[in-house]
Amino acid sequence: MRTTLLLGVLGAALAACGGTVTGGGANPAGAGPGEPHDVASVRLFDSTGGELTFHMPLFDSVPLRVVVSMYAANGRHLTSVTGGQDMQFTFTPAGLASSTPVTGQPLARDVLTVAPPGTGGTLDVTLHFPADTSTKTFRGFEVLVH
Amino acid sequence: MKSWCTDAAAVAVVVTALAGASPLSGYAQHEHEPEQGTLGIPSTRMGSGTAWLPDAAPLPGYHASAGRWTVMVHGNVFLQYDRQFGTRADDQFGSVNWLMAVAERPAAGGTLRFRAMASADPWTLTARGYPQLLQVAEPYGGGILTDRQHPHDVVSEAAVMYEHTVGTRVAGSLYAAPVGEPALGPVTYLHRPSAAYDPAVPLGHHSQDVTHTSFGVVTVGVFTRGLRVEASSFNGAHPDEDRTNFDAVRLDSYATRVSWNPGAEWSAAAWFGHLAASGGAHVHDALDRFGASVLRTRGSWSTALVYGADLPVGAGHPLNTLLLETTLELNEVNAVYGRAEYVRRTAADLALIGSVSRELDIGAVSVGYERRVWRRAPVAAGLGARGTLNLVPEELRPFYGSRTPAGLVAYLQLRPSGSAPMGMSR
Repeated sequence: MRTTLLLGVLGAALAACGGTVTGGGANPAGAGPGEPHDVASVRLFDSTGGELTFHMPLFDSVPLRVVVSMYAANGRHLTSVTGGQDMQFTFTPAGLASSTPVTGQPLARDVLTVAPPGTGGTLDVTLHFPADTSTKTFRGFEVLVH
Repeated sequence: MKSWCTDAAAVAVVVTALAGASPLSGYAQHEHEPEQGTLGIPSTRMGSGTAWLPDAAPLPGYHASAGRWTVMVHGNVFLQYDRQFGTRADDQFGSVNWLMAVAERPAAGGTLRFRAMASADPWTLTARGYPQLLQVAEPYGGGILTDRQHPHDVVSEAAVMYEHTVGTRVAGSLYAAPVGEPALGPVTYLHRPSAAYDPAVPLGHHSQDVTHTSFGVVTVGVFTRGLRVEASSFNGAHPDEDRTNFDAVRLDSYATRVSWNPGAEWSAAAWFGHLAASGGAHVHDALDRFGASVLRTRGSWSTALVYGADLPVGAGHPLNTLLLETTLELNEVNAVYGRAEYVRRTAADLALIGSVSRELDIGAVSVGYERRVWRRAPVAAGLGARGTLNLVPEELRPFYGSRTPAGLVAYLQLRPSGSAPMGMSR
């Protein structure tokens, strides 16, 4: 009987909490605009949404479109920032690859390499925000020519 | 979002299984001397997979006999409210739970054993798991989940094991599992008496005992009464993000472990493994994993010291983790516990590549208390709470709101009310 009672209490407790079992604050789905000072991290994707943040594979003479997504410190996706931003890619070593802007996509670059397979290095992404004239650089994204 | 009906039903399955053990024919609660197994090894030594606990480890559970078969049932259910604070604050009502069964019988002069472990976590925590600051980020649903611990797979062990003596002082064993645990790592935290009241996973889990759910394991072992040497071939990929299915079985990685029980209170182990590059929930390049552990149980006080490290191929230096955890049962009703950890995280672990240094030192100190509020065989219920203070470097302050982001879990725990062996051999 007491076991049944305990199970009943458990069921009631779950009934009370069931609607919130998913939680969700740390990975907020509420993407939206923000301010320049909100930008705390960036992630890199290809044109199909494939993640390039952890590893960016390049192939000789094959352009790769790299799209930068901005995030606030709490992980919220920032779809835009007030006043927009200018973006610069810097490869190390300098001969690893080059990038060109994409018309109409201020957070995208087409990246091209002519380096031989096996060449590795890093990419730094610099964002300049005209609204407050601040600059943020996100360093060390790994790049490898395959 | 899962309905509460689904969540409650999933938990009820596990709870009912535990609660229902007693009425079954032949079931009885045992609080006597542990069974003596192969080579006279106490059955209480059997921890997770083929790992050894100290002989003195208390493991609550139940067993039944039917003909030549003996069946053990063991489990744990936490119904918890988890609150993480700071910039990445999050909270969740949910349940961490698991149920384990071991069935064995004499066969061909040895012992044949089946092991199974299941959990309703994917429903009671959702596929996104539960909030835990600084836990390793995982791909999920096309994005990346940060600061959460994944749920257990519905089936995290389905294994068959055979032991046979060779002479009077040596025995051999074979463990095969479509899903199970290779000889890599310490006794997993779920089965350590030093973590018996703690609902949270260690931050170092992914460098210590994460392979406790591997889809494809074969382990051979040779052991005496005090020493065990094992070698495993297993699937080095972490389970995929669908925790309700069976992943493809592969044997692409290998490991070896030496375990030593010098006395009833102690168990030590050291391991080394090579994990093939993999996808799954934790994409990683090929890496070596190694570590060592010392577990001690003295009366009602159990402690574990675990060192674990990953050495990605070509990295040049290991990513170290260190854990010290302890649980003291003050009496029949009250228990206190604590855990202190150091982990070396990468920016990739935290999904912060480009924003912070490539590697960062993280610390965490947790303390908890549980008071048993109800007991009627076969289940005991306790109310508890644990608090965690994480210690992060200055460069993580913007992401966590302070250098000491905190977490709190309040819970009701259901577990077997009696002490009986987890595994047995004859």
